[in-house]
Amino acid sequence: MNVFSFDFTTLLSFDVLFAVVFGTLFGIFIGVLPGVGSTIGIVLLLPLTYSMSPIMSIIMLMALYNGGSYGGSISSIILGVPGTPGATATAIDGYPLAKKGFPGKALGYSLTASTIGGIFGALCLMFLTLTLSTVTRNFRDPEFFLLGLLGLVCVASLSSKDVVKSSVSIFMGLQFSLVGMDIFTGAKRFTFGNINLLDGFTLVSLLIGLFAVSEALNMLEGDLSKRHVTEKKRLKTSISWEEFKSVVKDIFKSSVIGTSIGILPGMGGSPASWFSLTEAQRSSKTPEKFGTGHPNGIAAPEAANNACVGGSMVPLLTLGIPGSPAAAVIMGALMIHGVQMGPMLMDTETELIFGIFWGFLFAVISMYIFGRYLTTLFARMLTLPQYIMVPIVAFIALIGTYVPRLNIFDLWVAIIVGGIAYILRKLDFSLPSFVLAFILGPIMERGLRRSLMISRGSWSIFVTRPYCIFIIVLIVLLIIAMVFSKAKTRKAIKEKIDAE
Amino acid sequence: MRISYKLATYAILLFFVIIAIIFYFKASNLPVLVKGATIGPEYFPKLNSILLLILCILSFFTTIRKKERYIKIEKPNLAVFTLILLSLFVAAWQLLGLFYISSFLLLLTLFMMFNPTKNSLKKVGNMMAISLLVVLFIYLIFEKLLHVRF
Repeated sequence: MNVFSFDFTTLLSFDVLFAVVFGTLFGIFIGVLPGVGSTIGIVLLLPLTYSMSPIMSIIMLMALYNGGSYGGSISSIILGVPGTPGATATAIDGYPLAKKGFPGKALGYSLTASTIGGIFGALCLMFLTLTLSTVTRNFRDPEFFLLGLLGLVCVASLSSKDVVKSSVSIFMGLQFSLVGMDIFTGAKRFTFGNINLLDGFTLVSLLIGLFAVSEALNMLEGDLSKRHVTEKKRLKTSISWEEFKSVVKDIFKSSVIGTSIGILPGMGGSPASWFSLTEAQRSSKTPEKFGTGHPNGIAAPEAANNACVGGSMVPLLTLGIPGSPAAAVIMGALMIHGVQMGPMLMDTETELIFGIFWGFLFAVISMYIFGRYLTTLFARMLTLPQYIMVPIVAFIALIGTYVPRLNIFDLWVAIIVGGIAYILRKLDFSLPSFVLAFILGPIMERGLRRSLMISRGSWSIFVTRPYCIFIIVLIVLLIIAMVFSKAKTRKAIKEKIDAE
Repeated sequence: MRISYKLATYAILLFFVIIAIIFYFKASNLPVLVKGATIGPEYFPKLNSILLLILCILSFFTTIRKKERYIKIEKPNLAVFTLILLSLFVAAWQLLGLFYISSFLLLLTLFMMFNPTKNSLKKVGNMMAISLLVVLFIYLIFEKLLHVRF
């Protein structure tokens, strides 16, 4: 079966249409609200997916993820306050252009770039997943173990400013993943006599605690009476053909950057948008105009931000390793529907994967349509005060924790983890590292124990298989790059201090 | 409220070290290998605990070398009260089973606590109406549509 022989009438069913429309609208809405973000949006919508089919639920969540990436630019441009971390770079040129009297133009550049970036990301997702899956279906337990290790090294080196604290977060995540019944021997590990821990901690309760509860507590520090008032006139999002031509090169370059960064675990939309903005400025004929309302300063980060969505799903669908926290929650949704993640996913769930590809492409196009005609309506959401939003976010997140197992114990986990995560964030510990390690821990342990069983205790199994050697080389190269990068940064800081 | 970044980091690292030690000793009491297995259920947890301990000690030393700074926590009492209220809500639900009443009271209390405007009957009325709407939303979507029993 090839991707073009997919039954496209599935996409026209009421279920999928509802998933695309609702997911996109909710995603843009969530993206507009400063401080919330796509990850929390996906977490909030997760309970609704339990009664849906797998294809409907994943398309809805991916539509939300994609819509949220555009939605963040609306408050970035109109208010100068980014709605999502990935939209921070957009505010640098988006807000000045809006202040000059062209908010609609700025939103037009953002929407066009987001759409093209999203389509590029979706096509890459399709192509790369199909290509890589022919390789990854040959992976066995030794490769799974090493891939897990690669994922953890990647996220430790890329996701936080303090590598040692990122590494501590990783090992804490691994520690949490080991709680529960051992699948090989049935031994109860670290349950402390609590029957609720026999199956370990649930991914959903940890995600909600780490991201939703801790973020709600974080939002309390701001001005709770804040109500963003916007000028609703001149928000018509459109750009001319000439204006489009002036940004198209940067849009495509940024789409490549965004997709590539999205593939790397632990990165996400924020670094993608900053890298692409830096590159757009570097290659521009008028770099001095960036920061004053330069159109390429809006188009580049937005294209990267949305391309990142498709990119972050590539390692998830090919290897079972999520490329971002939002992709981790989507993975949770897939697992709740009984989908077995890993390299064999393309073989066991071909219809589902093809449905996700085309559904996602459909969602990107719908984002353009809704963004084009409903941006004014979304801008109105900014008038919702924080003292209303914070309790609602926290409460609905807690309800979402309860729904998977109907177990109140999960709520206690979310509250306690949320309280601790609130402090950890301030101390530069990496929450995405913790989540990725929690997901990869069981995969790695299973891979390691089975590999050593097969090889009768010989560790040479990890250095005699060709794919294993390739992955080990990648790990070593990544560690070397990390060490060089740190040394370079230290040298630059020392030179700066000496110069002063 | 300002707290020392270094002191807070040391406290968290100490907490993680305690967890690592507890997990190590708990893992040591796990059953020994079954026939045919090369490593048992205790191997990965013990390895992880040792590595976590080493990294915590390393982080301790890297933190000592850093310049002292202070992290600001604005309105810490709000965060603490919120956590206490959320805990009371869950406890009331778990012990008394009164989900909808507890939800309404939780939301109303949080809205009143966070709303900085002057207290008035109108404010109480508005917050009660919003609380009711949210609870109704939960009832319609979760209980009626998704058949989730609270």
